[in-house]
Amino acid sequence: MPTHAFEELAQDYIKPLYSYCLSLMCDPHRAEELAQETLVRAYENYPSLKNPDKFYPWLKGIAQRCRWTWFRSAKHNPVDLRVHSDQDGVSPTLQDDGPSPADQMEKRERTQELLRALKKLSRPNREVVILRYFEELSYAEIAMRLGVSIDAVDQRLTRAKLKLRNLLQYAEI
Amino acid sequence: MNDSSLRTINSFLSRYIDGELSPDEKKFVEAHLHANQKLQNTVEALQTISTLLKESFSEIESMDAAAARLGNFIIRLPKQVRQKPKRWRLDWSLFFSTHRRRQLAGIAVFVILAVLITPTMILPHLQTAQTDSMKSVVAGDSIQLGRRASTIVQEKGTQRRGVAAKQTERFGTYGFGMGGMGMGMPGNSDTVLYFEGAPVSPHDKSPAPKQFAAGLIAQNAGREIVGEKYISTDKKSGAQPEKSSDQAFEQPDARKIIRNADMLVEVEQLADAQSAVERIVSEAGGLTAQLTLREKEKPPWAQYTLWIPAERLDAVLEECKKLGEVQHLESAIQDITEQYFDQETRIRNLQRQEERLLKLFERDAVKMEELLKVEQEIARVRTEIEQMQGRQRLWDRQIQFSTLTLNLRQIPEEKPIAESKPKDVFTPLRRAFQDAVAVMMYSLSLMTKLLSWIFSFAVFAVPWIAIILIGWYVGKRFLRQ
Repeated sequence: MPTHAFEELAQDYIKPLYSYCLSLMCDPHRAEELAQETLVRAYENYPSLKNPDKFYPWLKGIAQRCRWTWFRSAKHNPVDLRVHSDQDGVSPTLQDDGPSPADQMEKRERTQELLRALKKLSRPNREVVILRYFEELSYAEIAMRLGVSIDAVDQRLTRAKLKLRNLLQYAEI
Repeated sequence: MNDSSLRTINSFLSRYIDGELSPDEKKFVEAHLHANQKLQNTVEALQTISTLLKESFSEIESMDAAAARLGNFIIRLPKQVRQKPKRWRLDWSLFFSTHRRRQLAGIAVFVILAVLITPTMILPHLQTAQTDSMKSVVAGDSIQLGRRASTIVQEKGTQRRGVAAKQTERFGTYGFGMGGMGMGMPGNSDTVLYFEGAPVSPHDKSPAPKQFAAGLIAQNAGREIVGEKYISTDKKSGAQPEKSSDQAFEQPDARKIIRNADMLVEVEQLADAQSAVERIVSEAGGLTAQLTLREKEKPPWAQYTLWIPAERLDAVLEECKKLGEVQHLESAIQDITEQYFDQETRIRNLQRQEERLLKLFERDAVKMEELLKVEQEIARVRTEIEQMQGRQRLWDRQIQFSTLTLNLRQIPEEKPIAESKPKDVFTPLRRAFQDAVAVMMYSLSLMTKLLSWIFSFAVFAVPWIAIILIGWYVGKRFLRQ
């Protein structure tokens, strides 16, 4: 299989892959790392891929396996991750119009908390939340990406949000 | 509001909050919202969380930036990472698409061959097994019981012979029953030999042998006595006077020795050798206890189990050596003197005990209970005596008659031809060539055997392989999920 095909295919699937990684890791930095690792693996093994139509499921599979490998190795433990994200969790745009450092701190805290809560959801629910609020896809697009009905997407979102509410309430207490 | 409409509402709530419902759906939700306070609370909570989510995710670095970085990363990939060569994998899609028809045809041929060949491989074996079992003449246990004299009975129009046993009067029914197995089974008993017992000890009072034989023969109409032979030593050779147990005990020096021999002879013509063996055996006053004949095999062979009077065994062995080329000869003796006389003493003691008990039994002034007990005791002692005597008779038989296992094998046809040619300088060369051909043929036969084994194993393995493959795929699926 020609190499340029991989690059073309991969460019098409960057966003879905990144969202998926985020739903796996619940952390933007580690998600990006995971996406990179996945792309390396995918590139290495691309000649073994038989059916280019299944490129995205294949990528997802690789991402999952990479994540498992990380979990097994001591290098990427959850504690490590939090230090990472606390260091540079602030985006430059927010810094520009951020009212005060204390406010910023609070917001960052809240985001972290939300991501942690997100981690406790089931994967399908988490995926829907991320596709909706991070990738900002429409309901129809989400339904197509996940291969389920729009109603199901709605239900999952509702369920995920209610669960999140409970989790966050407990976290506040 | 019922459950089903609540469930419907639940799959609209998120879209309601995000304003993505059609006007009709929106109305439907709102109608429910008015009626249900709990639902209103849920919607409020959902709204809060949605806002929170939007805010929080907006704080995370936007999707596009990350995507741009990853895009650059992909462009750099070919320079930094090398692609691995394609992994070899069993391609099942090929199996069911491109070459499907050809392969299915292959499988069909394989299955048909299996169905056709397997029975043809098995059936001949079954058939030979059947004919073999019909050909072998098996002397049952009953033959071991009697030994003193025998009447050989031959079935009309055949060469088959057999032995029926009659032990003693007391064992009459039993001995007859065993003999009857050989004689009386209607329809399939083509082998009959009659073997009767003369009185063994003073306690045995058998009817006259001939009388008994006549009785048996009368019951088995269609058979006749073609020859009568008394192989009891006191009646025939007289070299060793018959000993009853008591006499043997009075001559403690006599060694009790069982002699057996095993022999393999290669003969030129099996049929000739067989008749020679029969002649030798009848001259020696022995008899054929068992005969297995495989005439159809290559080379054909026969196995005799012969009972030869012990003192004639050496002479018979010499005679048998003349049948052909002796390939194997094994002779063994077993000294059972000690066990024999131990048994003897035990029997005498028990007999004395029996006599005492009988006397006790005959007294008049005895209570009924005691009488019963004595009777039981007599029965027990009697059984024991009889068992021991039975074993002794077996020993007597084994001592008097040696067992000779004689294997006859016809020489394969190639051999005499090769040997009959005049020897010349090229003989070694020819021999070598013949040997080489023989070795090659042997190798080929082994190969065909191996192939047949592989084939049967393949047939055997099909269901296992299927199960393993299914398990493998299911397991893989399961683990992946």
